[in-house]
Amino acid sequence: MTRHLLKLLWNRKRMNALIVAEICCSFLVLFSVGAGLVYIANNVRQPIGFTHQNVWNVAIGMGQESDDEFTKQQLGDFERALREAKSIPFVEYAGGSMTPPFSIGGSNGNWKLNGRYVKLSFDDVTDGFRDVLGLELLEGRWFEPSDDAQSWRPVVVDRDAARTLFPDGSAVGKSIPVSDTLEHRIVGVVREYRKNGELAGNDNFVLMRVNFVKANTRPPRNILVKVKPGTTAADEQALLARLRAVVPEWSFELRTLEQLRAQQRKLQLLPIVIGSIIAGFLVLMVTLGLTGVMWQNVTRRTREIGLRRALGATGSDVHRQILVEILIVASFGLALGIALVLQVPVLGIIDIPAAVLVPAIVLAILAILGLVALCGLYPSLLASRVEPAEALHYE
Amino acid sequence: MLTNYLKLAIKVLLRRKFFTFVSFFGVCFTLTVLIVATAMLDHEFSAHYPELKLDRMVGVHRARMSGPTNSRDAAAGYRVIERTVRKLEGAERITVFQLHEQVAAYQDGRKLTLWLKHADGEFWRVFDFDFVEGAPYSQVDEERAGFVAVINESTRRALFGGASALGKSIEVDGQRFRITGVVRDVPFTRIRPFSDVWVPISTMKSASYREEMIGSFMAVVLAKQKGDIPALRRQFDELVRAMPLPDPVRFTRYETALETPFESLARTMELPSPNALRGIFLLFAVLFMTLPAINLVNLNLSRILERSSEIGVRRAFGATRATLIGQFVVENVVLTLIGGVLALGLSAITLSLINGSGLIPYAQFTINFRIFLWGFVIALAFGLFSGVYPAWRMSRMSPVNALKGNA
Repeated sequence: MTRHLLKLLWNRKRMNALIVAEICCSFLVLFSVGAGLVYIANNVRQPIGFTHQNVWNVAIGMGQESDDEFTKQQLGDFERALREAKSIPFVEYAGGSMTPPFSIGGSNGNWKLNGRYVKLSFDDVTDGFRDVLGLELLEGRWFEPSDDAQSWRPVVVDRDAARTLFPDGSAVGKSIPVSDTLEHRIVGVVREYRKNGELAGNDNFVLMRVNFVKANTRPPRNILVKVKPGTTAADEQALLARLRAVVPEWSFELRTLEQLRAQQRKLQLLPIVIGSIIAGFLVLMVTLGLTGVMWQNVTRRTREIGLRRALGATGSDVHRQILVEILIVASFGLALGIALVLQVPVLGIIDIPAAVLVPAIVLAILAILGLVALCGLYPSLLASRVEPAEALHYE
Repeated sequence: MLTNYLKLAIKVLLRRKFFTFVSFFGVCFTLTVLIVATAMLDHEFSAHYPELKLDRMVGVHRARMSGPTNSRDAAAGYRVIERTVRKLEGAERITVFQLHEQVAAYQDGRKLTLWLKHADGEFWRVFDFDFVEGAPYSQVDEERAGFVAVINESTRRALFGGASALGKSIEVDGQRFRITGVVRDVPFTRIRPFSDVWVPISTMKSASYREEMIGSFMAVVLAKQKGDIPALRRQFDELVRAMPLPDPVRFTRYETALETPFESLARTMELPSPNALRGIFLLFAVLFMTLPAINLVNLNLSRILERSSEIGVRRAFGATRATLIGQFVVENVVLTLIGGVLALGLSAITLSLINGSGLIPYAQFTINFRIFLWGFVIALAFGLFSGVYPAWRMSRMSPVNALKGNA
């Protein structure tokens, strides 16, 4: 039976090759969108490692573009501004950060450690940072004032960074070679810190301590404050006025983490929403198109089907034949599509984790099979209704 | 002859409504996506309000200062602009301005988040803003650090409701400015003129920007005529080369150029030329058209049988294969062109939805004549892309088989 079907398919190889190509392209489209959705769905289930409620972010414009150039004066000004913020009654905690939560962009790089490349994300933070965001310490300790005197720079890493960097043991006490001039030594490990929120993936995070005393680290560009519940716009203005009084030549811009989060979420969801809409229309177009093609196909084979019926095949036999035929063609398309998709991680174009790759492929396969079965439904029904007597007479 | 083809094409389209519907659906959807994308690119890179004299404008948008171990990549610093762009000879006008930045404005206990741009007085004479009321501030305000501002219509509505804003003041980032004029909203896609509030550069809180090599400044040079641009570019390159670097040990090279926004984008993407960027856009368009084209080819091929007797008769009476190919390609192109007209309508609807969604601040995407022409070109390309193969296959049917009704 299968051999017979394959032979029938081979007889129309040109037409079927085009259907294979169409299925393959549709698979690629569905896979891409599916991979994005699976990636987001996986991320949403994980905790983000900090709380953003009642936290404000004051971005500082120091009148220069580069973060790396700084003066002792700027570092001192930053410390004074931070102290001023902390002294306000409605502020519970205050801390500095270079790339605060939900901010666009960030600081990251690939570092060669123990012979392999590890992607790390960085933030320069002050001692108050942990209390503002409520980071949970899992191992070691957080920064403390006595760190000012160390000859090395204390850093705290999050758990996934610790696991990636030192898979075989505790990360605390080890140093990471991210700078030529200053030793960076891990003093503690916090729970996975996901700066970009629920929708984004895990990045191996390294929080580096800002040293105001030695002034050998750059000043952060943001002040994060945790405020008591029930503040108003007037409180925001009051905070800004006090900061401006401390450093008049800087500009300050206040946004709540809630606002930053909403803005970032919009940016993160936009591509996937647009992609899904376009993919949805493409798939609808393909479904309608394949239905048309199969309909025409059945009409054209009326005589062949009539002959089968005359020789004893039942309506459901014919129905099944048509469906199995298109499913065979579809699986060729799928095989081609899967082979193409697997090239992406194999050639190392984009590193897709297995937790995304496998479910996305499975979802796309199911979607295509469902779709093709849907396309075959009406035409195969037509085929099963063919009356042998009329069909053999058909011109 | 062409009329006959057209008549036949329309007859065939009317014969099997389902097929016709599916074909149109695919064509319309494909062309709509491409026309919307084209319209967005057009609004980004072609002359639109308030950059009406775009063909005479070149600007400094990005700069990089690099050395053996350091590299800084951002917009140009003010000092560089003073020493290069400002020294250009033979330009009609030169304006210097900052990248827009987000700031908070407080008004009667309410908070507004606004875009602020520092720009000199010439800014208002290089770009063609429509003033709803009042007038721009001038170069004199720039020189005397006058605390004056121009705002856009949306900001006026947010701050003062429908009332006139002239003479009133606005507090932005802790500084108070007197409003001298209100302009029609500028879409976010016009990166150079875009903002909510414009104030003179000299009102910046710290004067340290004057010493920067890399910073947040841009400049636009308006040439007297289009033909002057190559000479201006040569002059500019010469000035950049002659400019001393402040720290010749750490930084040995300064790279920037007088270019169009499109050229800047190509350079930022580290492409060898703007044409490579055009190539990338074209590649994306072709990739996107592939699936719809295969779909249309499949549909067209399925309809061969329907028309086999027609083909047989024509072949038997001496029509050459080339004639038949011509006929079928023309039919397919007619189909895509009709689809293109529908797609233009759908694109206009989609664009107005995008405008209304607030996704892109003050977006004013519209279909203009240029986009109409592009839509025509795209529809034609899609028609040929999806029509040639089925036509070739149809023309290859042997007359005997065709007359018998076998494909």
